[in-house]
Amino acid sequence: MNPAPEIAFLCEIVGVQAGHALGPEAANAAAQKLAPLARREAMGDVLELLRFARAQNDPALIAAIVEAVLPQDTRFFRERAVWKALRNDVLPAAFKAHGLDKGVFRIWSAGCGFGQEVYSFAMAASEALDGSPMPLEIVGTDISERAIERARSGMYTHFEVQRGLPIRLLLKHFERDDDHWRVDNSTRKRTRFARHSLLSDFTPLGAFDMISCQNVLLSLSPNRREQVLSRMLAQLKPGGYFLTTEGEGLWLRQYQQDFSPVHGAHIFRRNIVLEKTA
Amino acid sequence: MGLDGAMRKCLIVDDSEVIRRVARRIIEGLNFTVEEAGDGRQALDHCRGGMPEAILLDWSMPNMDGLEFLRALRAQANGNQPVVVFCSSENDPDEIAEAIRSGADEFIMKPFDSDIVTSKFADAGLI
Repeated sequence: MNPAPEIAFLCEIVGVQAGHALGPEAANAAAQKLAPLARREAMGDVLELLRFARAQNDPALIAAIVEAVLPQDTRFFRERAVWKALRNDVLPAAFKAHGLDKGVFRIWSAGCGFGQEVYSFAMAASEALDGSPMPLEIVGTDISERAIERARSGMYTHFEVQRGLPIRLLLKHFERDDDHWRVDNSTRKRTRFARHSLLSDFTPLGAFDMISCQNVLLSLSPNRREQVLSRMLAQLKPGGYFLTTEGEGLWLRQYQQDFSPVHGAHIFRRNIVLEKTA
Repeated sequence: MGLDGAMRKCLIVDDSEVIRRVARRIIEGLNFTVEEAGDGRQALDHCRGGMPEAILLDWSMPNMDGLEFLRALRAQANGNQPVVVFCSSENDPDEIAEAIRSGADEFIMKPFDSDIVTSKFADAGLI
């Protein structure tokens, strides 16, 4: 049976705008996430919202719909064991190899959502540096303008700061702002956020010493996934690190001659190819 | 489970029966046996009878409050053994810092849900 035209339209805009391959069943579930937006737009229900968006072909409304159905990661330090390895071993080794006088150490968090991963990097790096004055820039990108605005604000709710964030780090890196908590300025000044689609050119973002791509490749169609991964790896410096999830790490296999595993199936390092001397 | 296969024990200290019941359900789900105390003094009696592995501790309570209990506990022989997770509606950074300085391992700000308790128990090394 063909999906309802409204659901087919949802699959189409999510595919075109974000590169997400949304099957009809997942699309039905995703459509339920649109209920608050439908209410806000004074629509009778979700289907009416989708019909209206299609009829109007309104880019702002279509963007809002795509944003509302995309999954958002809402935890600090997701994958505890990986962050422990990063803080204790990988980041100290990477900083040492980079050197204090070799310019800015750059980290890219692709698909950063509300910014928890970006600030997790800032906090882990601060622990790993232990006061050393390493210039550091952590760049978070996401297709969702709303997510980028929230991430940039560094404001989190009572519930959000209690998911994955130890109390010690809350006290060290956050300030209370009424019933919210805000990442403090010295932590935020190492971060930068930009709206950026995985389907657009990555070269303006520059080269990175570390790229984190977690739960980003999963929902892409195989062709798109291969293309996004290869363009992403092109932004990684020799000797740079690539962080991913166990499942997504499998797609790195075709590049295995260029990468060495550093931590299980999560962290890989691009090999440094030494120039042959005659 | 402990090394000998026994369930680990968590003492829930809160003067609200409703909070104790909700917390019990969550913490039993994390494979702890749960005991309850209604204030710091009762909790201290419990601990004298044998230290639990974990304590979920409210701050504001009659008779003996959470901070007084924590200081009394940490002054006892074996009083450093239990992992103490404060669970309070207090959300002032200075007050939270004071609780940590007094020997708390983690701090939950109320209201909480099972995700928060699980996350904080993991941060405290309990699971």
